[in-house]
Amino acid sequence: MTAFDSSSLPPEAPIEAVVAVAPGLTWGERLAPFLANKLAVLGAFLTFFFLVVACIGAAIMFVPGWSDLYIDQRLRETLLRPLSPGFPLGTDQFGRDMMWRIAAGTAVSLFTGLAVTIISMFFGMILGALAGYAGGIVDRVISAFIDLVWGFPVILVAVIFVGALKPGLTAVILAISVVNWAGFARIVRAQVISLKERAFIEAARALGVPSWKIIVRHLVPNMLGTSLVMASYYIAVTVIAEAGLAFIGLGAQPPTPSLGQMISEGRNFLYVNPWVAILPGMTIALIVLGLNTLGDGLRDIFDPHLRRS
Amino acid sequence: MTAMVPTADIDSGSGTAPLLQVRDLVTSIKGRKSDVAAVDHVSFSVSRGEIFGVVGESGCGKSMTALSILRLIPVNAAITGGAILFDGVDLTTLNERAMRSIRGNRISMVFQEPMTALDPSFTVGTQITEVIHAHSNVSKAEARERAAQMLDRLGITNAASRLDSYPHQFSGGMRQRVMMALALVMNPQLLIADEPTTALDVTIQAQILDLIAELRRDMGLSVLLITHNLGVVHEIADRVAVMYAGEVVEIGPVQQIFANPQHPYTQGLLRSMPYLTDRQDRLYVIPGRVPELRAMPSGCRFAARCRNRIPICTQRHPQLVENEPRHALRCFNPTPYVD
Amino acid sequence: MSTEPLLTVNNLVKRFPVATDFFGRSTAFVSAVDDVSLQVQRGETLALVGESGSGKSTLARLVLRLIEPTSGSVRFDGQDVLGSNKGQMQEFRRKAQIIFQDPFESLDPRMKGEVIVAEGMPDSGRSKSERKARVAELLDLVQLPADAARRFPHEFSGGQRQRLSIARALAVDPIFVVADEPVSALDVSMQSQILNLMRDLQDRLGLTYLFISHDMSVIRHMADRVAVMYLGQIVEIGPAVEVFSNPVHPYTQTLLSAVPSLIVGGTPPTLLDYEAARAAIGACTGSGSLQAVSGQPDHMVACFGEDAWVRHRGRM
Ligand SMILES: Nc1ncnc2c1ncn2[C@@H]1O[C@H](COP(=O)(O)OP(=O)(O)OP(=O)(O)O)[C@@H](O)[C@H]1O
Ligand SMILES: Nc1ncnc2c1ncn2[C@@H]1O[C@H](COP(=O)(O)OP(=O)(O)OP(=O)(O)O)[C@@H](O)[C@H]1O
Ligand code: SF4
Ligand SMILES: [Mg+2]
Ligand SMILES: [Mg+2]
Repeated sequence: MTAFDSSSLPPEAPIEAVVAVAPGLTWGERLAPFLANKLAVLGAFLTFFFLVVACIGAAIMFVPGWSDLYIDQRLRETLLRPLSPGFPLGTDQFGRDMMWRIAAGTAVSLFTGLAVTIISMFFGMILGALAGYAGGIVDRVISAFIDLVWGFPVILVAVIFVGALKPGLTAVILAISVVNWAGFARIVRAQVISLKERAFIEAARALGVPSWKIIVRHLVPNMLGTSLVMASYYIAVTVIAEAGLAFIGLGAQPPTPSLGQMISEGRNFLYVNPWVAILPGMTIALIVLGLNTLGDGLRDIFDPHLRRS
Repeated sequence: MTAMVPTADIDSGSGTAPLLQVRDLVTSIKGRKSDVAAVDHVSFSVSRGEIFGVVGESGCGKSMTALSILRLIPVNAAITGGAILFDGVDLTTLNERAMRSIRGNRISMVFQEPMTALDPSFTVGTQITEVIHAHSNVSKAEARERAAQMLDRLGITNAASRLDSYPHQFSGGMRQRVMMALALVMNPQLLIADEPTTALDVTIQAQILDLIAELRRDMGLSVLLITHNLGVVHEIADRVAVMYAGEVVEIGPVQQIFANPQHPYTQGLLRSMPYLTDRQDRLYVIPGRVPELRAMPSGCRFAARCRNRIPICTQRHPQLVENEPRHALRCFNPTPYVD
Repeated sequence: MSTEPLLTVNNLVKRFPVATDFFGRSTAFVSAVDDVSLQVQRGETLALVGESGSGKSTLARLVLRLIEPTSGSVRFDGQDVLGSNKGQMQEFRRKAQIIFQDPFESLDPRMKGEVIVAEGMPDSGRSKSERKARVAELLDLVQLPADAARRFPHEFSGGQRQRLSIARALAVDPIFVVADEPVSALDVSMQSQILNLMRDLQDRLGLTYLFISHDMSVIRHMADRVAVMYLGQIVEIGPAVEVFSNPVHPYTQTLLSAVPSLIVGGTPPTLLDYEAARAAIGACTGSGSLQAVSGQPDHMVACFGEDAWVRHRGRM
């Protein structure tokens, strides 16, 4: 993730630049750098759009009776192109409505991404913070573990989980989480280490503020921004990983729709109707683009140290 | 006597084309309603082998000027006017890629805040060798060797063994020297040093100033030296610009300005200095505070704090005017300095 | 009781591990503070000056027990600081405070002025409005505008931020304040403001200061006594007037002669040559031990040999 390769960043944001984004500004002022970044605004828009789509998708999957919308097979109307009457995005090889399939697939992708990110953030934050705060041997052991896990190829882990459980979303969520938490843990550890050395933490200790209060009042609020930024990147990464796993048949199993699986099936019909593969592919690309540019924008708001000019 | 001159013409007088020429630089910070200029029509030049000092109150735009030169200004700021000529090339027009090949290599910068500039999760050695690898093709061992040598020249004892320490294991002054090593290790043509010696005791400070002087003599290094420490400027700089509220208010050769400061603000700065030999009862303080960027007075920006104020000061904005050769100032009513 | 020094530090040592093996065992050390003993009397200002990396900040943190020493003892106001239990530590933290070098780093950017100032105030025993009134009083004491309570650190100038951290330190009614380079990040005019303020507060509240700085002219302005540190040890200590006018240790001499000429003003101190300096500290018993300078019983200098002389004075 080059986005976090802080060593290649400009070494310093001027002091005032740091504080200019701290709280105390009106929301207008705080959002100014974000709004100035046209891409970030586009990212926010895209993300919001797909969130709405995902909510609709979830609704049709879970509200009884609505699932007909994307499950119904109309075998006389297979592989219709987009903009066909009654099917704005066309149909697939079974005559299922692509529009609703993509909505449902988006729901699966995004909520998988959210689930994975929440799980990995939880464990990553706890272990990363522990390593950073405790230091010494605790840090060494946890760091060695983090590095080991971070090196695992997701696909391999997924194969193991699928073997142990059965192919499906649960296996996918577990497999990606098992690797992703290490990414969070690394960054949280670095953050805690640098925060711990900040003079204001030492000042609080000198005032006799107890440790738990220091963590709650100083460490956590100062890490929240970065965590949010990281979360948006990690959801994007998970969306891609999930699609990849689904593509090779390790992900969500039919009839649960998944964008990766749709691309994989659509491959066979490229000559008849390439849109059955292109549309889910474009959806993934746009979701990821949205999340990443949103992440860049958030970074500008929360963490000016990571800013590039 | 006094003549209006385009301010960019006040240079070292060496006759040759300067290495760096900042012309009417305006760097603005985007605001809700309107933009405000943190650097307002600033002009100066640095000749080859010259050490040029910039002094002035906190928040007057010194760092912003430096960051503008390297185009590392924060995202909510923008260079909205002027030109920055480095070796004849206007840096404001270069693309990001060309800029990157200049940064850290031909122009390098020592940032004001070592702890935010150094990455806490990498060792000092890693951070220095990374810069070496980024701009040259040397082996790992060689890069380490060079890093250790540089730290050694900057007065860090046991430099080689301390390469494996993390920044928080260094004292404040040692971190500052690590920053210096990062900046000097590629032998740049121009060094921009933003408060390079604030955390250093006078002996190490002297050692670093000597090193800078030596690099200037041997390699023709030019230096843009930003500092609060008037003693350092006096010691090492050839010329100095005094900034106030985003503008240059006095510029000229160091000897002239220290012997005969003309601008009331420069005089105030010199008057506030504690001296070594006598224990003053109270130190002089320039009354009042710097005007807000958003509420800059239209007349002289120093007027509210000035002892020499006359009615015109609040009505018109003074221009930078050369009052003796190569010494210019922005004031309607300068008076001779009395301590 | 009142003749006992407020702070007595005996044989304090702190070694930091700089290299560790996988199991966290240390394989190499830096002796940041190496057998330091000193005393600070009530109401005085002891200035600590020394080479960068000589252990000044480490000593300050040891004295306040922000880090644990390798060995040695710290007595403060009749209390053994290192042997204190939790309750006694709370009491100690109320009496001894610190102001940090960096006004940007030492304030949490996400807290408002009043929260920062009130941070160390005990939760109990004061109503909300009493706390507010106390904060207002403190802000006034350090001459900050009343609306400072509702501002965030970035909305202050560097000098104002430093005042805020002074107010925070004073909020617990300390009797002893360690100031670790409190003005080196400030421009001269703000520096003067803070130094004036610190002296006023000392006069009004009878504070005792341990004042760390590398700026000799600032020390000259603030200090009653000066201790000079080099490589973790105190090499010269004595009344400021004597140390400044009559430096004996070669490092102190180098320090004074390296001050930029602009801020010397008047005549620079006279420097002794090797013979005279050796003669001044009389017979050297053990190397490194502090000896009184003849005729100045309060002025102590570490016994040095010719090698130390060459090392320091040779650099000039
Ligand atoms: N990112 C930012 N957003 C808003 N204002 C900023 C930003 N960065 C700097 N400023 C403002 O621009 C002005 C110039 O700041 P600059 O950092 O150049 O000051 P300086 O002269 O270097 O001060 P110091 O001596 O304290 O370092 C200040 O008023 C500052 O508050
Ligand atoms: N946490 C730490 N781990 C390892 N070494 C440390 C640590 N803190 C300080 N040191 C080392 O201890 C020595 C003394 O550091 P200290 O910060 O006390 O110096 P100082 O006198 O305050 O210097 P300066 O004037 O530069 O701030 C230095 O060599 C430093 O590298
Ligand atoms: S122009 Fe007037 S107010 Fe401004 S510095 Fe000169 S005398 Fe003072
Ligand atoms: Mg600055
Ligand atoms: Mg220190």
